[in-house]
Amino acid sequence: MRNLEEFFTEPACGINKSKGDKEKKVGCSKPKPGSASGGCAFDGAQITLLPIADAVHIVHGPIACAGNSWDNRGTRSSSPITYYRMGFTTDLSEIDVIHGGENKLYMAIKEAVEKYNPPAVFVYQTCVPAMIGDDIQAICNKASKDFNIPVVPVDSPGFVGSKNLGNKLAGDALFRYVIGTKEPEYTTPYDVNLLGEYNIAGELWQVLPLLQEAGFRILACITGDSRYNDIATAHRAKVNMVVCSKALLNLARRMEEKYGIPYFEGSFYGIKDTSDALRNMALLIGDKDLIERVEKLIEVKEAETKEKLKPYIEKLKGKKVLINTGGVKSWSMVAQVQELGMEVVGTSAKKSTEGDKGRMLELLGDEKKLIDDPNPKELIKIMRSENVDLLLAGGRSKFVAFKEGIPFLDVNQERIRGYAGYEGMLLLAEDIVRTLENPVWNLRRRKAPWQE
Amino acid sequence: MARVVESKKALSVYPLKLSQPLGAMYAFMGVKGSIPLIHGSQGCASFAKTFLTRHFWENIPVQTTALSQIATVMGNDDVLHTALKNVIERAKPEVVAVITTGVTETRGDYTEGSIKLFRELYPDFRHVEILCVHTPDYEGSFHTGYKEALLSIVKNVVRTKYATVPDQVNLIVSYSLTAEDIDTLKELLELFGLKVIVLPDISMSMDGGVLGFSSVIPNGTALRDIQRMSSSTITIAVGESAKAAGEYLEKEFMIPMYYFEHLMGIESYDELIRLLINLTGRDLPERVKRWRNRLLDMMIDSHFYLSKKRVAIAGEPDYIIGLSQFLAKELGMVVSLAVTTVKTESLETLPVEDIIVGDLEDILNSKKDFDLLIGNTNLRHVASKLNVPHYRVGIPIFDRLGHFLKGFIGYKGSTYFTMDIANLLMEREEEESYRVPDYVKRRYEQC
Repeated sequence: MRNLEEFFTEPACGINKSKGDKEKKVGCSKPKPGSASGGCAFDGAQITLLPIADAVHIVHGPIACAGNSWDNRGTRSSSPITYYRMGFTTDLSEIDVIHGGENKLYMAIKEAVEKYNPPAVFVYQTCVPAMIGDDIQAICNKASKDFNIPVVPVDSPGFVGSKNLGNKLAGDALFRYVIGTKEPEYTTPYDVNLLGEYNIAGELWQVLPLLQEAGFRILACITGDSRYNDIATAHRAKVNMVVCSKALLNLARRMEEKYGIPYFEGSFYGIKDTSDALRNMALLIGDKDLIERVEKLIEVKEAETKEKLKPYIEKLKGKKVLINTGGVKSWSMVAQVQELGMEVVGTSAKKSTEGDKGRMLELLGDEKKLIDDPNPKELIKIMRSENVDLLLAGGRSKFVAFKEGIPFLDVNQERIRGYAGYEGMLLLAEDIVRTLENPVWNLRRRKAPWQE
Repeated sequence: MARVVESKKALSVYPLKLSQPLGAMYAFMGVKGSIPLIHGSQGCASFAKTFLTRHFWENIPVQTTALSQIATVMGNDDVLHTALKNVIERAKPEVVAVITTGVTETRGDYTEGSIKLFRELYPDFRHVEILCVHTPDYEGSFHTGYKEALLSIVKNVVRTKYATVPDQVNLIVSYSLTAEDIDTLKELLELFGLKVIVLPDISMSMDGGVLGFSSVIPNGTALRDIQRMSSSTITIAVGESAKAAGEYLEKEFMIPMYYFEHLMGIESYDELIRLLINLTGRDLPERVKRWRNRLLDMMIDSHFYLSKKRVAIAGEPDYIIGLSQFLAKELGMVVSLAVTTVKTESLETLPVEDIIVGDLEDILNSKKDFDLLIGNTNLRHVASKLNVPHYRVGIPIFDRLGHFLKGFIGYKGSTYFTMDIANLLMEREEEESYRVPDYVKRRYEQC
């Protein structure tokens, strides 16, 4: 098992910055037994890397890890090869646990290479093989030499920590084994990388035309709609935009250190954030023409979007919304729905950095609206006391709202519509109106004949 | 008779197998006031929660001991105790089901001992039933996990023999029964004047009928009713996964068990009704009887679309057992391949050409031709590659609404099931029949 300390002392992490030396040693906050929610480190690692569609992703572990989770992310890909939607796993049995699973893993890599001929294989370590001491690093090395193909070990047993730590472990694997191993066919002065954009529900595709119109070229999106070889060439970009702030910040910082690529944190949710992202990207590249072009584009797009939004804003003005989502969305969604004229009565601060929290506070102006522990009971309390009109959250909160008879919109990975960029803003408005105006909410409030 | 082989691949590609802890957890979805506590890394619980939420379209109460790497190495009595305490204080359950995982089983934790110690340390929590189910992920599958959970429930909750209640029967059901299926059986037994204790009863908790949020399983079989299972006259067990729990009650409390491998189609349901007539001496209302005729009529109307059509089915054993017998023995279809997750005793007796204990890729690799595939949502990957119609039965089904409201057993459920698959095949056959053969196309091109 790798030393996790460097993640706990990551200088770019806002939470680390606010800690003393002693606290840093303790590491990231640990889940509480009996009152935890959210995924494990393996989950997080897989989320980050799985969108690399043409690579084979082998989960080394018993069936629970892959069998219960494969093909459950809403990431979309334009790749004709879609290995990412398959559930490759060594499916360890009791015999493997007794005798060790290394041999089976080696054979599994061999089968995958022979049958699918991918550009690379990722191997995920999980709890059980980590406990019995399977050395996946050695197996990956050997397989890589024997089959002449990159085989990347991702050391991510679930018990090391939460999903978020897993994101970082995945970023670490990319930095060590992938980025910088290939040269791009050509480069331009306008090459950028997006870090932590996973093309959930095709959100990358919503902003891609915009970025192209402004004159940027996406060298690598890490990892939404990517191919292995794009990521291998990512070290030649001029700017890194970190989209999901907490997860891949350490990757951005290390790329700056090693390859001199400046980075900024941004988001594509909402009008202002989208514009800011474009602006920052242009400023960091520093090309005067580009900056001008981007400003013009922003002006046109903003005006156009605001005009189109008018009828929706009329309907949404003053409606109360509660937000329960993590990372960058915890504040960028606040801004986004505020732009729709809605009032945010609370947002989750559980998975947020100090930086995220600062931004939230700036938008909401009231610390009480930052919810540190958004468990279902807490959410219900707020929904009832504040008379909330809408809950924006992930799929697992859906039924908290539905059971209470409150409209809900999925803004996490299981949704099928994207809400990024100017175009996404319109879709979000449209979807919120669609759910709020459905007759079922009133019917739900009526008494049954036998209750009258 | 079926040829049963185990897949020899090192690499599972399109997994079919689900883990044992998930199966155990599923059983508790039908036990009122319970909450599963998954003893492992937090991912063990969160994957399972997401999975069942997508399948049922319901809130799924579950908690985790969230073992860290240190707890994993150093042992975890403390962690389990903290978790139990937190769960009991916060969710106020009647039953906590401690479900072990690969993590705790690899370490070889003595979980029962740890629970016993908890009992001594926290006498205030006496009123809460704490059960333990051993379900290492690297053994068995969903099927065996579910079976273990039911066995653990009857072994630990049914403690004393009560005086027999004449009209009371136990109904222990497989995971392959939907909420609607369980309703069908409950209504049938009530028509015969019987009081029934169903274990587990997801028809009250995972049927969409629950309003208001609950942090424990909101409805289902009550603990008090499970305790009174020792006072029933007979046990009816449906499905291989329900058999062991029925056998335990038979052995321990001398309650005769009547075992049904499945209840799809005419023959097995006839047998159940024959049993109930003999037991009670009562007759059935006309409206139930009519459904038998309707089923027969549906089978006749549809037989041309179904006869000799080749089917591949995929699923946990109880699905395979029920589907293959109905499809082959009553609908006259050819079940040329079944893929399942774990070897059980009855597999070899099934009317299937080949059974593979493996994954969904084994269907692709079989080089057989199929007219229809039956299995869970994940089978769609294979169905689209083979361009064969796909009917959804099994777990998980997350791309269709209301699966739990569909019935598959009894005269009525079997009628609808037959109708559904016949419609699929009819549609495909009609499409195909309009396709102009290549040699005909060429003839016109030459003109």
